[in-house]
Parts: sequence; C-alpha cells; structure tokens
Amino acid sequence: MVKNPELLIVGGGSAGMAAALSARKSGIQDILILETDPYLGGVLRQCIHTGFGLQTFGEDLTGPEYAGRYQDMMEEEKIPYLLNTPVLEILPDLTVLAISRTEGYLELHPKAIVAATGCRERSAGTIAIPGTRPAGVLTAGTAQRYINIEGYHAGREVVILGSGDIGLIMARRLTLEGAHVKCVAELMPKSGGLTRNIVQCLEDFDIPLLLSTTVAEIHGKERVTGVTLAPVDENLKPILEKSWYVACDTLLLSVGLVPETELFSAAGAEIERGNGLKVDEKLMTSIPGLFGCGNVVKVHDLVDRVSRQGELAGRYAAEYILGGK
Amino acid sequence: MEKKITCTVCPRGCTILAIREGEKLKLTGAACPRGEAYAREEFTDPKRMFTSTVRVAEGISEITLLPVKSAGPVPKRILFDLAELCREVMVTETLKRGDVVVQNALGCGVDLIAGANL
Amino acid sequence: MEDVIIIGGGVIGCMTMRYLSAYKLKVSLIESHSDLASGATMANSAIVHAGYDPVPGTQKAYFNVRGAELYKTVSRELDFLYKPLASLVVAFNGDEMEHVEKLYHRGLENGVPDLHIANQAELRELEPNISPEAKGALVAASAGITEPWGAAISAAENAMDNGAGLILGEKVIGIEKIGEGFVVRTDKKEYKARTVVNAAGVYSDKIHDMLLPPAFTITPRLGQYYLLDRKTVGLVNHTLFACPSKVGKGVLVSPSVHDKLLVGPDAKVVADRDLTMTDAEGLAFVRENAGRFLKDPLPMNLNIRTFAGIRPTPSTDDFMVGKTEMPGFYQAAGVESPGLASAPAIGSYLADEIARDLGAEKKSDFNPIRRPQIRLNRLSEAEKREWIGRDSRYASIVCKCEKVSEAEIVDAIHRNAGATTVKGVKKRVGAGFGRCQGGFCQPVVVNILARELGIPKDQVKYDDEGSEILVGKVK
Repeated sequence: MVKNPELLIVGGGSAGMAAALSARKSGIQDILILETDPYLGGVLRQCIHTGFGLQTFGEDLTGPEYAGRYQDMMEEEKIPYLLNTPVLEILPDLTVLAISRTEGYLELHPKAIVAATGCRERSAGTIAIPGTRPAGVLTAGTAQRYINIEGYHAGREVVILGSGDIGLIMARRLTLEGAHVKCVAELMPKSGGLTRNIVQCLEDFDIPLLLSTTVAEIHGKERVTGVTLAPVDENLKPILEKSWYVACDTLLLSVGLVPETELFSAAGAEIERGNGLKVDEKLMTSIPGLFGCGNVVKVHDLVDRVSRQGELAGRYAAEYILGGK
Repeated sequence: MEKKITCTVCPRGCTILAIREGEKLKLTGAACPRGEAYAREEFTDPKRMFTSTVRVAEGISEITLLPVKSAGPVPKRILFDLAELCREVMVTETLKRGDVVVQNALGCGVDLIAGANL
Repeated sequence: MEDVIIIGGGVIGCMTMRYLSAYKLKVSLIESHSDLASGATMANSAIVHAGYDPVPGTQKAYFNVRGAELYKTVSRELDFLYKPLASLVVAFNGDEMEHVEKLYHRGLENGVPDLHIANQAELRELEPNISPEAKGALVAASAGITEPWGAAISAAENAMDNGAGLILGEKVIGIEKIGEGFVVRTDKKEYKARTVVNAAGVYSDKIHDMLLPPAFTITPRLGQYYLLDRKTVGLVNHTLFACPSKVGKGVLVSPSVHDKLLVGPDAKVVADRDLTMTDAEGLAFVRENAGRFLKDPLPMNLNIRTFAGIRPTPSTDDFMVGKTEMPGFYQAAGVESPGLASAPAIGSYLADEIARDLGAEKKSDFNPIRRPQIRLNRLSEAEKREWIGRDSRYASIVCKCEKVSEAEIVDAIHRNAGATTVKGVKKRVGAGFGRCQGGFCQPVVVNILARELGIPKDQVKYDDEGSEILVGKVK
C-alpha cells in the first residue's frame, strides 16, 4: 500500500532524480517519484554517446553512466520510487491520480509536487511535410531507441531533416553501424547543434550538412522511397524550382523538442510563451505547491543544467513544505 | 599541406588553420592554447571518444544490449573497426558500470568499458 | 461454395457483412489491403451527416437519413465510438441564409428529424467563438461524429463472431459468372460464390466492369485535413460547415470522437486511386480557410497530423446500391459522401435483399452485440480500479498521449478481425493517435505485436506488405 508522500515527483529522469536528492538534503524524508517507464533515467538510457556530466561530475560520461550515477545516489539515500506508474491526472488541489502496474490505482495527496516530465520530439505530423505517410519516417529519438535499446536498424539509406544535436548524434551512430546517411538538411541558415557534434558526427564521416534546405515532399507508398529536397527562401518556404530528388528508405526527423506540459496545464498551470511550464524565481508554477524543473520548463542543451534546475526545484519544494504553507 | 580545423574544445568553435612547413606546424586562428593543442592533435592523429553497444548473452540480464565506451580517446581512424568489433563481442557475465568489456581494444591501448550495470 | 462474397472491406462492405451474418448464409469478405478500412473509410471527415444535403429522391437521401438514425443503436451494439453532435451550416449574408433555408426545406423533404434554423443570437449561444459576422445557421441535431474505421472493424468482428469469413491481402483480379454462381479470382486464389457484392469503393467501377458493360466511372478525389491537438477542444462545440460559395465548398471544423479538432478538406481530382498524399497547395488551402467562421483564427500551429483521404466520386452523382442487371450480382458502388452516414442502412438493405433472393432465414442464435472494448481513458475511476484488478496490464500504459494500456493492445490483436500491424493497433485502440504520433509508443507496440503474433520484430509492418518498420538487427 502506497501512503501519501509529502513530496511527489512526477518523472524519474535527470530532473526528477536531482530534485528528489536535493529535497532529501533539505530535510524532506517522505518523497516518492512516479515514473512511467520501467526504468529510471528517462531518455538518458538510450543516449549512449558521451558529452554528459562535464559540469556535474567533471567527467565526460555517456547517458547511461550519468543516469547510473544518480541512481546510485538515489539508492544510497533510499529514495522511494515507483516504475511503470504513469500519472493520469493532477487536480489543482495537488491530488495526483496514477496507475501502477504493481500498486494498482493510486490517489495521492502530497503537500508539494515537482513536475519533471521532460520533453518530447516534434513529430512528422506537426511539421506537415507534404507527400505520403509511409513506414520509414520517424523521429531521431525513436530511431535511437530502435538501434541502441532494441538492437534494430530502422533504415539503410537515410536522410535526416534537422541538425539538432539528436539528429547529428544519430548521423554518426547510424554510420558507425553500417547505414548510409546521405545528408542532413537544415531549414535554418545555421545549425542549432553543438560545434563539437557538427565536427565529430558529420565532418568526420563526410556527411553533407545542407543549410537553408528542407524536405519538400515525402515519396513512397508502403515504405519511403525518397524525398524531395529544396532550398528555402527568406520566409523559409521551399523554392520548388530548385528542388531535387534523393532516393532513400528512411527520413529521420530532428526538428525540435516540446516540453511535456499537458498533465500540468490540464490542472490549470500556466504555460510560458516558449511552450514550457511558467515558473517564478523559486521555480513554482502558477499552482501553489507545484514546482517545475528541467525540460518541462524549458528545453535545455545540457543535462547538467537540467540536473541543476532539478536540485533547485527540490530545495524550493522542500522549503515550501517545511514553511508549512 | 594545410587543413582547416574547427575547434571543439569550447562552444566558441574557432576555425584554426594548420599549415605544415617542413617539420614545423604553423597554427593560426586559435583563441587559446587549449585550442592550439587540440588543432595540433587533430592535424597529426585526431582522437575521438568511442561509444557503442555489445550483445548480452541470454539469461544474464533484462538488458539485451550493453552500452560501452572507450575508457579514453582513441584514434579516429579505428572507429569503424571498433564498431565492427562491438558487433562480434558477446557479454557472458554480470558486469557493473565501469567494468572492462574489451581490454586494449584492437591493440589501441584503450579498454572498452561497460556503461551500465547488468 | 460461399453464399455471398463481399468485395471491399471498407465501412460499406463490413456493415453489409455484419447484417448478412444475421442470416443463415455462408459469407466471406475479400479485402485487397492487409487490414480493413484502408481506403476511403480511413481518412474522411468522420461525420454522420443528418441528411439535408442530398437531393430528395436520390439513394443518397434515402440511405443517409436512415443510416444516421441507425448509428444510435448500431454503435451501441458494436461498441464503436459515436457521439450525437449537431451539425451547423453557418451563413454570413442574405444569399447564404437563403441557401440555409433551401437546405432546411430539403432536409424536411428527406425526412431529417430535429432540424431548425438558428438566428444570430442562438448561434452565438451554441458557438461562443463564432464570428460576429455570422448571421445564422441551419442546425441539424440528428447528426453525429464517429470513428469510421472503428465502425468498419467492429462490424467485421461481429460478423466473424457470427460465423462470417475474412480474407485479407488478396486483390480481386477477375470475376466470372458460371452457371448459377460466380468464380471470384484474386491475385492468390479462386473462390466460388452464389452471389457477389461489389463494395470496392474507389475501385467499384472496375469490379462492376468485370461482369457488366461499363455503365459509370469513378473519379478518385483527394481531400486533405489537419488534426489539431486536444488543447483546441472547446474552441468549437459542433460540426461547422460553411455555405458553398463561388470559391468552393469551404472547409469544415469538427470536434472528433478522439477529443481533437478536424479541419478540412480541400478537394482535388487525382489519377492514382491508392496514393493518398498531401501537397503544399492543398494544405495551404485548408489552413487559409480554416475556421473563417470564428472570431479568432484557429491555432493551426497546434496540429498533430496532416493527412489525405481518397473518396470515390461516381459519374452518376448518386450511389448505386442494390441489384444489378445480372442476377446474383449486387453492388454498393459510387458511395461517396454521405457514405459513412449511410453505411448501416446500406448494409442492412443489401443483406435483406440478398437474403430474400436466396431464400435465407435469420439465425436464431445471431448475437448482435460485440464484446465490449475496454478503453481505459474512458473509464470511471471505479471501473479503472476494477479492470486493473482483473489484469495488471491495464495499468501498463503504452501510449502516453492517449493513455492506451497494454491490455487493450493485446485484446485488439487477439479479437476477430484483429490487429496485425502498427497501424492496425492505432486504428483499433488509438495508440499513436496523440500528439507525439507514436514517437514514444511505436517501439513498444512493435514489441507487443512481435510477441503476440510470434514473429521477429523486423517482420512487424506499419501497414501493407512492404511497410516493415525495422530492416534488420544491428548486431
């Protein structure tokens, strides 16, 4: 039987774990993390590349290593968590309705909540690319899960749209595992990815980065057979007269991340213009007692910054609870 | 021989021009000595961190693919060979994060280590 | 020898199959795609029209009004998603108000119940976000919204529960009349039947011409849509149509049974009957015309998907439902809009006709009720507790956006007319229909399909043959 925790944390990724640890340090004993997936660490589990932890640990860690270090600290502090436990609904009075594979239906009444649900990738549907809707169009993160966790290739001849870091990382990962990444097309005149990733993921493997270029059409009935690429004008509209066809069986999308705010906005929490949860200087949302941290507030470049904000949110939530408000 | 090198030491991303004049390497465009050192190595024998996965034998763990990384930078020219090596390796024991999976991989002097607990 | 072979597994074919399964007849349905509801049924406005639009005296008018009425019972029996929801035809000026009145009278003539014309004040009450320039509207309270593929699949499942057979992935390439019966040849096999029903949608002219001299043609038309995130629910309370104007029919805005807003379509004649694709021009048309009814523009940036659907436009301008000149050959050809609304009425009519001609009696043990489909996200708290107690896989959420559990997916795979593909799962339980469009759940759905069907993961398909999602093991 799960009893009501003082502090409930929604999401057991890098933000949630950091929040739990710092809340404990700030004097909150009774903490519970609810995690949807069957593991802690969130998307870090599939991010097997390095580049994590330089600020937090002063070391160049992989995603699983970074998550593993936090899990170890969680074990040491004996912070309780429930895996396979998605939150269905949060009410403005901080009632949390969740279902757990092991504990069944849960109704919890914590004194404070930390929102740490992270973000999701923008999908092909959102960006409304003209053409067919065949197999072989997927987000870079989904392909990353297929290759790193499931052990399967999602395609052999790949065009990547968007040069965000996940797209760049996947260009290298796919190339090293034997797929042919034909090019990375970027709508903007400059890549949003880190320089290190452009050098080490594209230039190292002679993968062309086509700036101010987009996918104007997807071809193929059952499976992708190719894409039409086109340069874009100053309004980012494709110049079709200058378009060309590239044969491929896969289109990977790395076209942005969106904070996963819906659970909290449904409870009435205000949303910032950048689409994240609106928080004050103490990381509290417009709902008293509901705090936010990490990518659900703002999509961060570095996991270290997510953890840092998680720490702050945990401390502020602890102060809120101990202040008896 | 000359080469344009984009520095990856910090997000500033200086473009460093490296020109070999006989025995000497002339470097221009780096904003700091770390960048210069990077460019020197990048020109002579570029190194990279390597990460991949290796299979885990059935019955060892719920994890079927174990993430691995090189314990330090390895020569860039052997990245594909290391990837090939990782397609052949099969883990048959319960490893912990940091345990060596392949010692002195391909004789490069660097181990491949486990990135997670099995 | 079958008594009846139905060609085409869209909502018309499936409803016909379902009503036929009530009779002592051996019935089979042949569908060329790997799953039911893969043509016009898959992508349309999902509206059960009230029936004020068709010209009085046409088959469209007849079947539409009866079909709309039947939805109330058949959706309960088959447990597919349907919600009564009034349609509004909004008028902006005197000419358009005249058109609304014309539709009103046409509706009365067609026998449409619960029709009235709302004045500006009432319209504003019904739709608080309506443009202040809107003058009034036709209100058709007998209309509804549904899940077209759900209607088709649940009808086929119920038919199979009552003994009917389903043949998927075989394309009919020839039919011959031999003696009193027919030989139906597919690209894989041959089937004999006493009667044949042509419910082949965009191919209904081709099937017709296999047995009879050409009498009509089908023009495939594409319509493109935007689907907006559930955050937009509430901006519009009813299905809103524009009056047809000189520049075209205008796009509609409608709540969907999945708590999203559907905006579209455009209309474009195309050459390929199978290729459903969006284009920049059509999407721009929908965007620009979206919600011109409303005070504020619709937030089109909250779209989660754009798609295109094909519909069969007959040269006759009307359905061709019933007997043909050839005894034993029946058809439901040229069924364009309002075909979805008409489907149960067409199915029931054809079944009764065929049964009468074949002298078949009703089965005494026909069960019209499909085993209810548990939809976790629609259960009350007590029901959730109950189902999770029965099977902990109801507590295992696979699709985070739409809150679909593993138990629902497993059930959808093992039912009659069950899911065998990722899209099949999406159609039956809605996993992947949400804002992430399967980004998170697709790998899990692939794993569940592989496990439940006993196939390797890289043989799991998205949809038809050749649409495998994975192309081989990495190591």
